[in-house]
Amino acid sequence: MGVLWLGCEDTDTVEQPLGSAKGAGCSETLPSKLPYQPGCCSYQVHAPEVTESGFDITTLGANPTPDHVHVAWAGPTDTTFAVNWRTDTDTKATQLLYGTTKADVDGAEAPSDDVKRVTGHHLLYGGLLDGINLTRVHEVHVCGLEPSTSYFYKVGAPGAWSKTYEVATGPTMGATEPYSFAVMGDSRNDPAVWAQVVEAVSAHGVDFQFFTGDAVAFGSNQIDWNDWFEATNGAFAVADVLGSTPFMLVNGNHENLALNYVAQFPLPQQITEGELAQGEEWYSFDYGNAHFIGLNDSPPAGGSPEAQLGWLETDLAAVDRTKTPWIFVGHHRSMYSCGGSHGSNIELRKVVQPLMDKYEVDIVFSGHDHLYERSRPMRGLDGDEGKVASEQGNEGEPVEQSGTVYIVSGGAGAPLYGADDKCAHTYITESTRNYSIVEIDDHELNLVTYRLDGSKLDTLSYSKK
Amino acid sequence: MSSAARSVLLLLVATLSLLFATRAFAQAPDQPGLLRKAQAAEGAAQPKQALAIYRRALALNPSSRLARKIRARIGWLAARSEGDFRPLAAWMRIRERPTKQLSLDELRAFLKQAEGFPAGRVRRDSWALGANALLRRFKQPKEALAAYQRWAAEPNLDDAERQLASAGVALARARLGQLEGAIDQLSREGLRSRPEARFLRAQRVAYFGQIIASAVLLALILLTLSFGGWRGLQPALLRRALSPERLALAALVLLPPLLIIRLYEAQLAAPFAMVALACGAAVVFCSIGGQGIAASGATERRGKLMAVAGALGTIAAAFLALIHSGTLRDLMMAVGQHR
Repeated sequence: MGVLWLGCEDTDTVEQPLGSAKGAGCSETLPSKLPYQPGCCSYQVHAPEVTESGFDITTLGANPTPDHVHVAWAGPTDTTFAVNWRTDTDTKATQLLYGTTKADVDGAEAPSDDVKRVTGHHLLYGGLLDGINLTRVHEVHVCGLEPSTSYFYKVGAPGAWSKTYEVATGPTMGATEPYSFAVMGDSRNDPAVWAQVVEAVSAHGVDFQFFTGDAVAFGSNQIDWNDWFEATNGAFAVADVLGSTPFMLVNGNHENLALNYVAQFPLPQQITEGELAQGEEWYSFDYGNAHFIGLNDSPPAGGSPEAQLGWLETDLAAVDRTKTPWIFVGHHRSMYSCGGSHGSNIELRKVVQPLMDKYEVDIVFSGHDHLYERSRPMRGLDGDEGKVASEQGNEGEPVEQSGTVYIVSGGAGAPLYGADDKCAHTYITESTRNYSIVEIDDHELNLVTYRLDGSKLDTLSYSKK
Repeated sequence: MSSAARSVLLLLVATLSLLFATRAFAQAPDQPGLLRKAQAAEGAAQPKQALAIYRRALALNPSSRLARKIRARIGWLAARSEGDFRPLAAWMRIRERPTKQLSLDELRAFLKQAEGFPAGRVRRDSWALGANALLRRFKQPKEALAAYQRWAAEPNLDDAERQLASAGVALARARLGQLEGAIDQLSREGLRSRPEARFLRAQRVAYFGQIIASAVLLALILLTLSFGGWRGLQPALLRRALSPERLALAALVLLPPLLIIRLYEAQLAAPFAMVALACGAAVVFCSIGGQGIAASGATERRGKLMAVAGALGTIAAAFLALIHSGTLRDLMMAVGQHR
C-alpha cells in the first residue's frame, strides 16, 4: 500500500504524566507541543497555525458541552479512529473515554478497567469572514484498537461529556469481509437537503462516507460549517451520523483549504514536500481490500500540483493489488462531466487520467457539477474528448474491466445544474439530489445510486474474479 | 456380533457422526453470509423474508462491525411493515426498476395500486417516489401535482415530510405556469427559506429581470438611434469612440479584477468575463452612439437622458449576463440559507 506513516522518532511527548489513571493504556501522558504522537499511534499529529493551540484535560468554560462531534481516520482504518469536536472558546479540556460496552462508557467519568482515556489537542481559530468570531475545536486520536470491532466513546471532560457514540474499526487491511461506503458531494448552500441525504444514507448502515468536496459555500465562514454540522431533517440530526460513521472528504473549490476546513477534519497526514494543510491536502488510506485516494484539484496560491502528481504516482505504484485489488479516487472537479455548469475539466484529465489508466483505478468520484453522471469505462485519451473503451455497463450487468469509471456525485444540497447526455463518454446522467452506496464483497462490487425519494437512479455491478 | 465387528460398527458410527457434525458446522450460517442473503431478498423485493434473515444475522453477533449495518436495515424495514409488507414489496419492485426501463404506464399503475395501501410510511413513500418521477423524469406536472397533493394530505406527516410535500406541490404548480401562486403558497406555509422557495424566487427574478433588462436595452438602442447615434458609425467618430487610450483604460479597469478572481477561483472567471463583456459591449455602444449624438448637435437635456439610459443599459447588460451564467441563481440560492 502507498501509505507511508510517519515514524515516532521526532515526536516530543511525555511531558506531563496524567497521574494514576487506571486503564489509560496507550495514553498515560499529555504532550506539550505540536506535532505530537498520540499514545499507540504510528503517526504524528500536526496542526495548522492558529490563534492558540495546546493540551489540557481540566479547563472548562461556561458552555463546555461538546457539539459538532465527528469521526474520521488519520491513521490505519483497522486500528484507529480520530474525533474532532467544538466547544465554547474557553473550554480547553480535551478527553475521550472509550470502551466496548456502551453502559460502561455512558457511566464513566474517568478511566477504569473497562474504559480507557485518550487525550488530544485543542485549537482556537477565526475564519477569514468571521475573524472576530473565534471557534475552539478539539481533536483526539485513538489507536491500538482491534480490527472490525465496535467501540463506544464520548468526548469532553468530567461534567461536560458529549453523548456516547458507537464507531467501528475497519477490517484488517486486505481482508475480504464485506463492507460498504457512501459517496456524495456538494452539500453547500443547503443544510436542509444535506440532512435529507445523510438521513437516507444512514438507513444503509455504511461503514464510512467519502465526500467529494464543497461541503459549504464559504470554507472560511464558520457559520456555514455550523449549519452543516447542525443540519436536521425533522427528528433526524446529521450530528448523530457524523459522530459514528467516519467521514472522509476532499477539498473542494469552496473549501479552498480554508483554516476552518483544515482545523475541523482529521485526515491522514502523509506530508509530502510541497503539500499544504499539514499534509491533509491530499492523502490515501486502506479500508479492507480497497485503497482510497483523496486529491486536491483546487490548489490555492502556493500549492504544488506537480508535487501532488508525483506523490500520486508513487502512491499508486505502491499499491499491492493482491491485498487491495480495489482502488478508488476522490477529488472535486470532474474529469468527465457532460452537463452542469462546469463540464469536463480537460486540463485535469490530461495530467491525471494517464495515471488512472496506468494503474487501472476502478472508480474516480468527483463533484463540482451538481448532478449525477456515470461515464462508460474509460481508458486512454483521444484529443480532448476521451475515448470510450467499452460499451458494456448496462445496469446490473457485469462490465469488462476495460476502463476506469468516472462518477460525478454532486447532488447533496447545492443548486442543481442541468444534465446532458450528449457526450460519448456518458452512460447515465440526471439532475437530481443523489448519493451512492458502494458495497464491496471480496472481488465483487455493487454500486447503487439513489434519489432522495428512495428510487434507484443507477446501478453498477462488476467482479474482478 | 463379534467384538471386532462391534468395533468396526462403532468406528463407522463415530466416523459418520463426525462427518455429519463437520458438515453441519460448515453449513452453519455466518453473519456475512446471512447479510448477503438478506440483501438478496431485499433486491428481490421480499422485505418480510429480508427482515427475518437480518434478525437472524444480528443475533449471531450483535456487537460486530456488520451489526451496525444490519441494525440500520432492520430499523428501515420494520418501519415499513404495514399491510404485512405487501405495500413495501410493491414499492420495492418499482424502486428496483432501472431508470432507463421504468415506463410511465408502469409508474401510473403503481400509483393506482398505492391508493389501496393502508395509511403509513410506504404509502407516503409511494406518493413521494411517484410524484418526483412524474415531475422530473416524465415531465408530467399535472399528474405530479396530484401525487404531491395526495402526499401532503397524508395523516401523520412529520414537519420535515410536510415541508417536502408542500415544496413538491409548489414546484409542480410552477411547472404548470403558476409561479406566483407557488411562491405565495410557500410563503403562507412559512417555508420561505426552503431551497425550493429560493429557487422559485430566483426563477421569478430571472423571468421578470430578463424582460425588464431587455426592455431597457431596447429603449437605449431606440433612444440612441432616434437622437442620431447612428452617425457615430462614421469612420472618424468610430476611431474617436474606440481610441487606443479608451481601450487601454477599459483593459486597465477590467483585467486586475479578472486576474484576482482567476487566482482565487478560476471557475468564477467565466461569469465575471461574461459580465465584463456584456458591460463592455454596452459601453462601446454608448460611446459610439454618444459620438454620433454629439455630432448631431444634441441638447444638454438629451445628453443627460442618454447618460442615464447608458448607465441603465450597462446595468441591464450585466444583469442579463448574470442570469445567463447562472450566477444570479447561485447568489439567490445562497441568500437566506442560514437559519
